[in-house]
Amino acid sequence: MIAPARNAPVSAGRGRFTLFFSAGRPSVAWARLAEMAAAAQASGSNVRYDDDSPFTTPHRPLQPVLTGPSRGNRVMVVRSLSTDVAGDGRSPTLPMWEHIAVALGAGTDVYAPLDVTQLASRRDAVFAIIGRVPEDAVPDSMLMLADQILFVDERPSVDPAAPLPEIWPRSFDHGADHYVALRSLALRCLEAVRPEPEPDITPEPPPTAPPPAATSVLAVIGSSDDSDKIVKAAARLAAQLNAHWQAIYIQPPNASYLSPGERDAVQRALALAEKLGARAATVPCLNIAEAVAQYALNNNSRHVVIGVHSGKPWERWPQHLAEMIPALELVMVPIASRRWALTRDSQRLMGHITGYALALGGSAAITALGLATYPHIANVNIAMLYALLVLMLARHFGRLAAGWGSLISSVTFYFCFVPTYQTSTVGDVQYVVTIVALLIIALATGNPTAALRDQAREAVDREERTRSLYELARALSGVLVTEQVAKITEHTLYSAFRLHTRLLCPDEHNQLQVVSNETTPMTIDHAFAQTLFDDSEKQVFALTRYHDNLLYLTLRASMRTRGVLVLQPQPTDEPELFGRERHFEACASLIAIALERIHYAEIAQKAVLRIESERLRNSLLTALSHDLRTPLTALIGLAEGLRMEQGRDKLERAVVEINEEVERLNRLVDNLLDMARLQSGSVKLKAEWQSIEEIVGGALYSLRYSLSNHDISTDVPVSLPLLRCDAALIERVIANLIENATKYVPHGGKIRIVATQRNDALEVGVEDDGPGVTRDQERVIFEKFSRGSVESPIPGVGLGLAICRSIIEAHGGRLWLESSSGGGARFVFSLPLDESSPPMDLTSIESDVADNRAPQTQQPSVTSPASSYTQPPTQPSLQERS
Amino acid sequence: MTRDNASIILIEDEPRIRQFVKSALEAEGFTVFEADTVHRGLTYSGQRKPDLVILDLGLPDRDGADFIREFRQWSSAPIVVLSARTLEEDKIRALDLGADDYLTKPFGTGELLARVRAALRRHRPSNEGQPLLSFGDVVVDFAQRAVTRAGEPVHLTPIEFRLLTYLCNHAGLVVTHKQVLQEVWGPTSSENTHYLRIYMAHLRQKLEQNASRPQHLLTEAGIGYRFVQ
Repeated sequence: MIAPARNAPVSAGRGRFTLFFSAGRPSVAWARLAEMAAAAQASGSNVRYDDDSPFTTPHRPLQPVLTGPSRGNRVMVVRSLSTDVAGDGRSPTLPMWEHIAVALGAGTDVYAPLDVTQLASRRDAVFAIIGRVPEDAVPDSMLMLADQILFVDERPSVDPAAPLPEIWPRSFDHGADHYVALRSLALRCLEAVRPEPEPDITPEPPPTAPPPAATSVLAVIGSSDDSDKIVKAAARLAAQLNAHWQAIYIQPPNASYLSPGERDAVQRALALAEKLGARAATVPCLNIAEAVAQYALNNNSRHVVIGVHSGKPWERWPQHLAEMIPALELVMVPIASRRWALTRDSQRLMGHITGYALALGGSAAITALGLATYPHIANVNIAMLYALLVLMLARHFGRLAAGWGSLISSVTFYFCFVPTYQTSTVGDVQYVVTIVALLIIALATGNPTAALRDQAREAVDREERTRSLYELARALSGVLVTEQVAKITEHTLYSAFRLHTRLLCPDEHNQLQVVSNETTPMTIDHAFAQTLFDDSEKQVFALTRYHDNLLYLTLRASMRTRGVLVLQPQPTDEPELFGRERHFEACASLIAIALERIHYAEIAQKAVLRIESERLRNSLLTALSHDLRTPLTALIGLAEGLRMEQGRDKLERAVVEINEEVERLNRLVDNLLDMARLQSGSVKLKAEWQSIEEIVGGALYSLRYSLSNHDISTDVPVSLPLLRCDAALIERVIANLIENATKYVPHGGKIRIVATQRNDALEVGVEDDGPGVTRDQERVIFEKFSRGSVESPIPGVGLGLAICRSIIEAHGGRLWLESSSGGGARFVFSLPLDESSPPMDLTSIESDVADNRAPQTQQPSVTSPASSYTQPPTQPSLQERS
Repeated sequence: MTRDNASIILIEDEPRIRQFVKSALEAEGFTVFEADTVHRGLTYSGQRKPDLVILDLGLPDRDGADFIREFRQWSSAPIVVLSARTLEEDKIRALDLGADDYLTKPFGTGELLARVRAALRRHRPSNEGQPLLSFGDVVVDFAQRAVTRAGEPVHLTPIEFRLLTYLCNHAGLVVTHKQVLQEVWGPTSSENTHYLRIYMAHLRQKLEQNASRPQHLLTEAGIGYRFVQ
């Protein structure tokens, strides 16, 4: 098929340069060129072949062409652009491609074949694919010069005997071997010179292909030492195409059998890929071609770089891949063949040896059984036993052991049980059927059962991984502290994979610090982690590295890298860690998201706090300027008055007023200090068993002078239980509430303090018969610096109620406002009662003290009634009070 | 009680406060020596053998508690402590170290003089040998171990009586919970404060007019109790 890869308009007077571009198939290109030349000749053009004669020297040979009968009808057919055209005395020997421009300028059309193997810039790639290159190269500028490029994209099935100019060595006409790779190379060359974005090169894109938005390059690496070459080739290609690229390791189901050396090679290659800017991943699979195809489709990769083992010609997956997605461009990099099974993990070898040994032992046992019971068990049944043995071997040790088993079985069966007893001629053909059947069983069941076993194990494994991810996601969703993240990570990964983890998070100087406080010893290379972290900050994605048997994963979140997660496998489980990097990366991104969420939650909280404290500061300043100045002004006035006053009465009154103002100032300062202490969290509750009656009494006593104008009554039953609280603080609450009431109740008004037990809480209410509180005021009354009315003669900055609420809430209680029955306000607070709270029933405690101590009471200070404290306080007693 | 010649050492670094405390005390007939550091206070105390010390807890050179500790090694003269309101722990510590009473700044001269008198009275007990004490309508007969209220006998349990006796012996002064527990219940029982609450409540029920507004058996929230006559 010929696809016009380029078709530029020709400027007047200039010849048209048509390139027949091929991919390792010069014979095909030449065939097409010859066809077109013949067609041109048939239509009357003057077609000349470059080796015809006149072209032996650069000046003369062009003559006949240039003087051809009519412009535009002269066609020069070039057999090879790289052939040297010998010069005469005046001009040096130059390759043919140097003459093309002259010919075109003279108005001659030029037809020339060009193979991708000839291109100068692709020599490395060609060498990598086919192992040799033509001696002479043609510069890439020829592709640019061509007005028309016809890509002769034909499968190698066309007639291989097509005529080829003798200057083309046959050896460069490649068959099917490297066609796929050379073709994609050729297509990339064309893409590089193609002016239009998307010419129709491919016959038809596969319907499943994603829209070609941004294509990417995919490097598929293996466990060979040479995997670096694949990575480097992919990096170069990606740079040329200016595309993203990925490097994947396709992990076969039995990856745990990789030797440490092979694992290192894979890790090295993946690390190199990341360093070169790729996204590296490990993809578990059963079928390599399918896995690569799926990954390429998912990532919109049009270029796939793969390694080709020269030592493994039977590896057919690249072909399968090419058939699956014809649009894929495969770049093949030759790599050294893998080392052989004996160098691999001893585990695998042991498996084989055990299989062989069992095959030997099993068949010996069956033979012995058969011989012992010789006449009683039919030969057919003995054969069945052999078949059973082979099946078991196939199931547990794979095809090789089963084959070995079937061979031994066949031989022993033949020599021991076939009727021509102890002869070596196969007398009875029907036993051949038995032997063949045994072999078929071995071969047919060997691999499927082994694969099924692997698949089942893989499925269980995957299920476990998925579950651990779910668990991690769920556990992390509600976390609020970084330490919790560390704990959850450790717990989840340990229970799922027996992995120890360390979480490293950056401090404010971007230095990583260990967050987890687990006791398991783990020597983390902090410098390495720090470097990884710094690297990750510059990248857009997470990094995963092995270092000293530890796996380091950066926690990359949307805004920045949030830290580094270090995984330490149990020493025996180390191979299990390998190949699960993708899973751990998923875990890492969950952790990163959780950390980022915590980070922003903290920021948001800080912002709210800042705004709040700013607001508070402003209202504090406003309130203080009013409330501090009022008593100070009064004090100054009164003091000056004192200086002038003479009368004894007036003097006394002034002194009393000064005292009141000072008291007011003092309370204000007290409240401010209390608020500051409560806000800063420096107040520690000194919780002790307290009687509410005593606290109410203390509060009333402390206010005894300012309560003289009001009618105070209390209703505090003596039977109320003790409660655990800080007496000084609760006394302050009650005093504040009472004082608050006195501010709003007119002289002579009633204030009532009522304490009751309600379920498991103690309620204390301070009610008055004042004007009450309106709905609007109710809402803001507990806010700091809010008062009943903004400018009022009633002193106070509105701190009292805010302090009360802080104190009550610190005790786990509640403070609220109700309307009292008399229409006034009723402030109520409730404090939780402990279940173990001792009752106020005195008799229960002293009963036995009284009995035991009565004779000793002459020396009270010496007695030690310690025994009375061991008495349960709830024990009832009927003595003493009667 | 003669207090004309009682000498008082005032250890306070704030000159204004020193001045008004001194003039108030001198007006009552006390002899006052001033000191502004713990060091000087200790020196003067050694020289003057004061009948009472008024000590500010926040002094520039050393903690006031150090003064109490050293002073108590050789003198049992009463100490009245001055402190800021917010430092309950300091007060309790000072009291437990051997201070006799405290005053919270700011305080009035009336309050100060009352405490000083109470402390001196406690130190030179003039009512020892006087078996009767009365407050409100209550009369306590220590010799007979009998209490009457408005002439009616009041039954007190042995512990209640011991508690009342202890408080009466420290009339006018604050006693910490720890001190009461140790004196009334014995040295091992300083943690069981809830027994104390219950006994105090009961004592108030029996002796006060209104137990929730006591006039004699007062509470010093967070610190202890104070009995006033």
